[in-house]
Amino acid sequence: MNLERAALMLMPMHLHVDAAGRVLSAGSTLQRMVGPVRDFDAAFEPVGPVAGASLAQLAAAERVFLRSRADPGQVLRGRAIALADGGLVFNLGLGIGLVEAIRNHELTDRDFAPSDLAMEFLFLHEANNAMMDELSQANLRLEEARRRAEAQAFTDPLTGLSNRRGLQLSFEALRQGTLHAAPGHFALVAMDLDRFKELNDSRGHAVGDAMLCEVAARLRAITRSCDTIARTGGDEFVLLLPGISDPAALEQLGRRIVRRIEAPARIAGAVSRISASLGVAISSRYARIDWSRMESDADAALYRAKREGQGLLRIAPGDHGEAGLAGGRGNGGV
Amino acid sequence: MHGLVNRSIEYFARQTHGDAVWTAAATAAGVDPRGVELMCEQDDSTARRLLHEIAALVGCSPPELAGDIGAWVAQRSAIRRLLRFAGRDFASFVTTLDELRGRARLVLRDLELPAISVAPLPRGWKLTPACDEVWLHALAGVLHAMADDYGVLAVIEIRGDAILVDVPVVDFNEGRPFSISDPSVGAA
Repeated sequence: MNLERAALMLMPMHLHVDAAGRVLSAGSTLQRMVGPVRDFDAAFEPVGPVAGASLAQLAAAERVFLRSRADPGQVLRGRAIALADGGLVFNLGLGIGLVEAIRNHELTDRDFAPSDLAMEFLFLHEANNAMMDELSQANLRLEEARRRAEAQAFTDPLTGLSNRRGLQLSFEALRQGTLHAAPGHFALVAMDLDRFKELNDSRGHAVGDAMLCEVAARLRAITRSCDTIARTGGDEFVLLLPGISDPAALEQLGRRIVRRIEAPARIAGAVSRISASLGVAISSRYARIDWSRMESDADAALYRAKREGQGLLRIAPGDHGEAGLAGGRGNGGV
Repeated sequence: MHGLVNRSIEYFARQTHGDAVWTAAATAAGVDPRGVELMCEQDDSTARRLLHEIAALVGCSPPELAGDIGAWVAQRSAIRRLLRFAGRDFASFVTTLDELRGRARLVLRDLELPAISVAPLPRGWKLTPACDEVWLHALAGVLHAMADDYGVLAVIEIRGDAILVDVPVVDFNEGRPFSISDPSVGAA
């Protein structure tokens, strides 16, 4: 075998044409991809940096890019060398379109020269996909675990209501107007159970805990899904009510809450009765919405309610001070 | 040891013997039964403890279990495809096993597979992996599974620190179909 024949056999993607573009020989893999080729111009179109180039110009280019006319999605790249007789020999390759070409033309490892890294490339491609699949599975599991942990971190384990951290998060979301499409004003209601300590002392902590759960259920029943209900301490609750800033509406709601909580509860075979006092801070009464300010104002209003009796609701004056309370003073007694 | 190795042990235990076996073995081995962390380098002794616990629960020896895991892993469709890429027939698969370590590293920098030297025998090969007994059995399991995959009748025997692969019948059956271009061909 002479060198010429040997060289062409080593290149399954070669193309040998004469000066007129007639194909003298084509590699086996190239033929699998573009079909039998007789004429260069009929089979290929130079594209990219060599678009419109003649055979002589292709021989001068450092890299040639040829689009297959039979399969226009397929661009081969390679190099052409001019021969003494005016002909050209091309050695072509698949470049980055390798994976697709292999799929489209059902190529196998026999179609590539053993020195070609095509199989290694394909191996890496598959290995990469397999690892990515595995990793995204692992990520999903982690994400789920994170969500669970987060939900636990923001939940009061006894009642399933929000805890203090969950409450602050909801407050922050409200403050930034992200919880609702239309950011508006809201009310922060601090609630404290009346006669709870007596219940706890007389009937034991288990009954006390059951009562707290009962209160949580009643609060859930009476509020909307957009409201946040939190238990922030032993028998202390906080409600965040978006969209409600009218004192009269709040007093109305307060009365409903107190009535609901005062309804007799049957726990461990005996009926117990408690009540609740409420203190409210309304965001529209503040120039600057601040968590600790609103919380302590709601607490102060709550203490006032407790001082004045049981089952009462008092509204904090906010920035306006006591003087601004004239018409808005809460009188939510039941 | 790479987390992937322990993850394989976990999947094998769960799929072959059930979640209860995995949970019991993981708890006894001091591993979080919710699942192995995939991309973390883990203590070599973790895999050993897991194998020991699972083997005790299912009533076999750790090397036997490693053989089962090797065969099982080689049949997972993604791994099986990667292994088939190494050779168009069983002979070229076995004779290029010395590349396995390099291929694994190409994919995962930290995945340390044992180096395997391959020497020809009149009707097969002698493989000498640089590894302990457990890995040796795991590799023998892979070879069993791949011989079946290629449709070759092979007798695979562990002798000392080597694996002898004897192939009395090369074209035993068709084997499992495989296509480089189409992952659905021969998929489980």
